[in-house]
Order: sequence, then C-alpha cells, then structure tokens
Amino acid sequence: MAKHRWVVGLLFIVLSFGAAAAETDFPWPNLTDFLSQLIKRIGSPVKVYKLKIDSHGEVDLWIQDQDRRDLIDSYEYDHGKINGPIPVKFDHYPTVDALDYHVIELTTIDFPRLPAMLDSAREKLNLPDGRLSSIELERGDSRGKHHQTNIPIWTLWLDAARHDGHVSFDLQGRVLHVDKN
Amino acid sequence: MWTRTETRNGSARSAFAFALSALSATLALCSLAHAADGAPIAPAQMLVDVAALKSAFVSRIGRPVYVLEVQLNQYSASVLVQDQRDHDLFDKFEAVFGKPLAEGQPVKGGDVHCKKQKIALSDLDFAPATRLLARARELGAAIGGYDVAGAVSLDADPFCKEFGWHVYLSGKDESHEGIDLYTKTDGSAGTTRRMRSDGSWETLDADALIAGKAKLALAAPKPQPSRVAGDGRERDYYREVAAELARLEAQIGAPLALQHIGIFEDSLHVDVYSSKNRKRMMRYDFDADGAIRGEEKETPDGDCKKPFSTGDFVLDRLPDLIAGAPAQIPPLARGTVHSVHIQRGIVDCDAPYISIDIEDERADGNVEYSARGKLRHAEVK
Repeated sequence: MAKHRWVVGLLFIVLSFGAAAAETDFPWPNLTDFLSQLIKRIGSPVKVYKLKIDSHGEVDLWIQDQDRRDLIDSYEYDHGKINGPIPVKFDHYPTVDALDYHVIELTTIDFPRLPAMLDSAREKLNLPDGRLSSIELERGDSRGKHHQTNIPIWTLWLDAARHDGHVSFDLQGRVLHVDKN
Repeated sequence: MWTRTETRNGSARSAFAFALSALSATLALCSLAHAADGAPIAPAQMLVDVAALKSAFVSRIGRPVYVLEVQLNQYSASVLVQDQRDHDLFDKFEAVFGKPLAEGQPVKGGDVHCKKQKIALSDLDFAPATRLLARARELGAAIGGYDVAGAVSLDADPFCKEFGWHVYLSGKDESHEGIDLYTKTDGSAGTTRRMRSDGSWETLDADALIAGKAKLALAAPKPQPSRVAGDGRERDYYREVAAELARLEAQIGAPLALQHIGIFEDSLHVDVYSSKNRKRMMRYDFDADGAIRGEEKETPDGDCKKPFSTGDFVLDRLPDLIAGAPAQIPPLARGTVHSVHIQRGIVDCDAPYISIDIEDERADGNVEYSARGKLRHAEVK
C-alpha cells in the first residue's frame, strides 16, 4: 500500500501539466485521475504496452497483466470513467519474452513533456495551426518488426487544412523523425 | 500546351500569350453575372454556357492556377487547382447552376492523386468536354442498353500519365460492359475503349458504331445462380457435414469433384470443379437452414485443378476431429472452432489436408490433420 501511495504521489507531480494544458486547443485527458484510478484498481507496477489518446481526449491504454505476463489488457478512459479490462487479441500472439521487452514502466514516462512536444511538432512540421489528431506511445520494436529504433517512441499526429503529418520523439522529448504530407 | 505555362520564368512569347488569355478572360468577366457580395454566379445551363462557367471560375479564383481535376454535369462543376506561384497550395472550387460560387476549400497536397498532369486555367476549354459528353450520349443511344451519360471529368489516369477528358458509359446489365471515351484537353486524340470482364481493354470504332456500320458484340450474360430452398431446420455443419455433402452430390447427380470445402458452424461452402472445364467451378453456399445457392465462377489462378473426392479424407471422423481440436492447443483449450477448411496443398497439390481454426478472446490457433486424420501440428498463431 505504501508503494501505491508513492506511485500515486509521483503521478500527481508528473501529471500536473493538465491544468496548464487545458488552455490549449486539445482536450487533454485528466491522466492524473485515470492513472490514479487504475493503480488503485490493479496495483503497481503498471507496464505499458501501448498508449493512445485520440482527438477527443479519450485514452486507450494497453498494459501487461502482472499476474499473467503473457496477457495484455486494454483500459479505456473517457471523462472520468474507466472501461476495462478488455482482453487484447493479437493476430500473432507474442511470446512472454517479447512482451516483457516491449512494455514500458509507467514511472519512466514523463507525461508533462507532452505540451512542449506538441509545440515542437508544430514547429518541425511548420503547421502552427495544426490540430493534434492523436498521440501514441509504444516501443519502436513494433512487435518484432524492424523500426527506426527499438526505444519507446511518442508519436504526435497533427492535422491542418492543407497538410498533415507526424513527429516522433523519444521519452526525453528529442525529435526522432518528422513526416509531413 | 500546358508545359508552356508551367515554365516559371517563361519566354516573352509565353508572357504575351498569357496576357492575351488574361485579356480574353477579362472581356468574358465583363458579361459575367455577380451576386450582391460580388461573387460570380454560375450559369443556369452548365453544359451549354461553358465560356460563362470558365469565367465564373476565373473570377472566383482570382489568381493564376493550374487545373488538375474537373467534374462537370448539368447541375454542378468542380475544379481542383494548384497555385501557379506556390505549388504547395491546392484548393477545390465548386459551382452550382444559377448559384454564386463559394470560396475555395483547401485541399491537402497528400490527397492530390497526380500533381504532374495539369493545365493552366487560362488555357482550359470546357467545350471539348461537352462535345465528348454529347458523343458519349450518341454512342450510348446507337448501341442501346447503356445509361445516358451525365458527367464528364478531367483527370490523370492511375499511373499519372494520360491526362484528359473522360466520359464513362455504364451498361444497364452485365452484358453491356463499361465504355470509356477519352480525349486530350483540347479535344484531340479521342479514343473509345470497352473494359472487358477479364480486365482487358478493347478499342472501339465509335464513328462506325454511331453510324450503324458496326455492331457491338455483347458479353455473354452470366448464368443465374441456382437455388434450393431450405427446410427451416437449423444445421450444425460441424456435425452434419457428411450428410450435407451427400445431399449436394444427390442434387448434382454425380460424385463431387472437390476443390475446397469450407465449414462454419452455421454455413457450409463447397467449391466443385466443372465437369467440362476445370478453369470453371461451381460454388455452393449452404445457409443455416439448409438452403443452397450455387454460382459459377472462375477457378483461382495458380490452382492445380486436381479434384479430390469425399473418399480422399476421413469424412466420417471429421465431427470428432473438429470437436477435439481446441484441446490440442492447451492455451486455447477453452476456445471455440472458428472454421474448418479441406483442400489440397497449395504448393505441391498433394493429398487434401484438414485445417481447423481455433479462437478465443485473446488468440487464434490452428490445428492441422492429414487426409488420414493424423495430427500434423497444433499451435497458437
């Protein structure tokens, strides 16, 4: 229980960008609330297989079941409500070793970097009015397929009237890749 | 013609030509109707007053642009344009007959199919488009069995090579295959082609067809699907497949020359080679209540065309093999059977094998038996 309190406390610190981010044009979800609820429900550690936030601010978080590490469950968060666990079905089921490698410790994810990454993405894409259409976080090994890197990768997708594109970042917010259409 | 205007630092000659076309557009604008807010009004007769239509677009767009795509019918027209100075700017403008033209809508560069093939708006003439449409209507009427062509379009082909006006004639039934009429933007190099059911193109002599000097050979109509009504009793095809195959055999009146059997709990799908030509086959689809729909189709490319019979695999043991398949994969022991497929090996065309697909909420698996019922493999996918 003491460990849970420590993790929740850490999350309150690292997720406190929510209030400032609310002034922007993207409906940032209240990740503090989501992850606090989630940790109370399933305990820690939380190992993230994949995170996706859509243009409405709805969150889909895939996490590894720590009691059955061969299983991945999806938890959805929308306006304060958690829906899950929803069993994840893979086309080709990964091995436990592959899953252990793929997942990302929640405590290593620096969520407050997201607004700065959004600013950076707009600048790199030269889309100052670009709307954030989705955010994804997943390790770049992409379930065994070759990728630009096998580290965890944030991908911010932007959409504007004349162009769209995406920018990839590492967990420290360094730009890895820019792709504009 | 368009390559001249595409040149950014054009010659004095091209500048002169541009000035001439600008003057001509200006003169046309003088007679153009405008709404109270100054927006140009599209002509009431979109396919007749094509000069007014062009002037309306020129006025609305108000800057030199290339045209990449046009859609035109009697009620509306749209143009996809690219700014001549900033090639990264694409916009779509629409005109509705008798209505003021709205502002253009930005289009993402990534959504533009072909950016190489284009014509300066100042050089674009809608008259060849309406002539092509009239010719398509004449051709459709002369042949008979085609819908009246209603629209003409300007665009590039899927390979971004051919650029010009197109009218498509749709047949009213399968024997009247689609016909494409094409000309370059200036109306030259017209071609008329029919797309055959096998995907090939056949060039037609439109003049001869319109004059009645030639007759179009129509495609043979496809045979209509056969149908046997169901009896209302719900089947479990995993258990009753043998009886149902026997019923089909009795209906056909000959042993089944099987190419593939697909079994689902509530449906059965049987592919049988034609007795006369193994490039053709019959597909029999069984509904949950036993209704059978039979339809002829082509044998897939690469098929070895070597039939098997119900005696070539363990048909009598099939229900037990299916029921026991999930237990062959321990992680999926509580899963269900999704489907069963029996066919010859695709690569070597050897004896038929039995493939059973298993699923649960987390994973898919496959269990495979030989024709004699020997387990070959059982694994999570």
